[in-house]
Amino acid sequence: MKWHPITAVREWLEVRFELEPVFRLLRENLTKPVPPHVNWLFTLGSVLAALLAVQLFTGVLLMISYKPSGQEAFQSVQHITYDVPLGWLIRSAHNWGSHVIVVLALLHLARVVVYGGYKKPRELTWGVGVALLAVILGFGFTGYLLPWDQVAYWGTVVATEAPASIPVVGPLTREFMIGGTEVADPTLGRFYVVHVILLPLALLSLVGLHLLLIRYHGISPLSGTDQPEPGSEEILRRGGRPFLPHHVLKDSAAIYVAIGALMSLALLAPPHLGEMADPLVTPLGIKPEWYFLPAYQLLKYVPEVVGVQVPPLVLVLLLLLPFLFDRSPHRHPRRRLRVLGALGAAAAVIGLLGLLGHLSDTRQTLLGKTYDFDVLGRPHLVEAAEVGGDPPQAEEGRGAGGSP
Amino acid sequence: MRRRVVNAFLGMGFVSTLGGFAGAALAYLWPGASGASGSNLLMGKDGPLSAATLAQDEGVVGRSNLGKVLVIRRGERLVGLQATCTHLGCIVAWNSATQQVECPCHGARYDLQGRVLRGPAREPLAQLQVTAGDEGIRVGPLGG
Repeated sequence: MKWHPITAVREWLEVRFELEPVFRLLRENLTKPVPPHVNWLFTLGSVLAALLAVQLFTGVLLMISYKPSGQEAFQSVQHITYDVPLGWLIRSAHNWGSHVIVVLALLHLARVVVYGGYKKPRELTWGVGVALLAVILGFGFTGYLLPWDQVAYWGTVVATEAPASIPVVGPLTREFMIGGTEVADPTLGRFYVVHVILLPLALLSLVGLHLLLIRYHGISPLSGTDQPEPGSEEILRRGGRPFLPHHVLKDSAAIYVAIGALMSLALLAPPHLGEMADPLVTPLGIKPEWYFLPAYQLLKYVPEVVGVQVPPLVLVLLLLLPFLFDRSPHRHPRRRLRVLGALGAAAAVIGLLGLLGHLSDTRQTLLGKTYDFDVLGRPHLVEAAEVGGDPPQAEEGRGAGGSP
Repeated sequence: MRRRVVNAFLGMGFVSTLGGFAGAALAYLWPGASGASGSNLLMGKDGPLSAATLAQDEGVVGRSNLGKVLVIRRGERLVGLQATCTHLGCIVAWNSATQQVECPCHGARYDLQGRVLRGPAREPLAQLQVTAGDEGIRVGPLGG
């Protein structure tokens, strides 16, 4: 028989370990059929996992040249952007990756909600998924500060100031988070370690557990939880297809499309690097990343002590979805219209808050008319004679701490 | 009985070990003081700030032992206010056109006495004593 390196390694291992059960488990799992209702929407999880791997790859490359100190962080990001070969592209891909991953995570979550995938016996898979969403948002929160430019610095000041309004524990929580009384060098050190060590460890562990649970329970069927779940043969009889190669091919195609889209964004719209952080001057128009805009806008309408507790509360309510709000045995979306309607309305409110946050303190032209959106997001029509002047946020006469 | 005692000791040992690590980490991570400079001299990015370079109706922000302070020239008088917005910690600025102290983050407005004119801030900015000296602007608590 002709010598082959893979066969040789396998034989070497087989002499020392009992590999057959491992191979059998792999074979069983890879060929496990997926139900016929599994469509392209079911590739979102795999695409998400692939983009997280890309993010890990670009993140490790950025770590090599990044220096996490207040004196050097900004210059090191400048160095990555302008001096290191392809540094701008790696940074751009990492930056865009963070946005695309949040979009995909939310779409994946929406898909699971629509198909009732969180219902018994998959509540734990759902819980781990919600925890993963929190980890992904944590990456966004801690990574935002790292470029140490004005927007990063002041966005973090606002975001870390909010928890201080919680009675008793708030101020100390904030000081622990930022390592002092104001965002400075210790904050950068803490955020960096959380961003590059603690969150990746949490992410890898949770992704592993999530995948394990998905493979254990299989893809959620559309039948109710009060009916026994179909076995492999039943799924095949109803028109299901084996995971390998059918669904794997679909996953692969979706992953390549996503990576293509990510790299196109990275190439065509590299992120801006503003001025170096100045703790004495807050620039105008400080806004957080788009996915924190709903929380940012909410803080303008309600007392901070209330507003700051809403985002974690939303995550907790999501976690409790299968236990408190959607306890019927039905999985099919058509039989859960009321629950889906309520969740859709909640999502619309969050989206509206985000939109108002985006529009607030800006001048926009809609259908040929120009509006100044005030701090609360209310539109004020601008007379034709005034158009061309400065929007309200860039009024004349701002002195110290004013326009950069 | 002996087994239970041994188990209790082992359990306590394990908890103590964890507690030791957690305590050391807590001490290491305990937040230190940051931000305020040691003196009452108002410091800008490039050194002490001088009242002489401050034009009429102009404001400037610096650091002192009282934190970040906004100083505004009003004729011969210097007005001093705490510069950190009481809403979410952004640095306020003096707008000579509106004659108001404004926060660029969420739009809070204050008057020259630090009183809130427009939310979302609820608490006023603290007023501070400001004096112009040869070395630069010095700040202190009002009436101090």
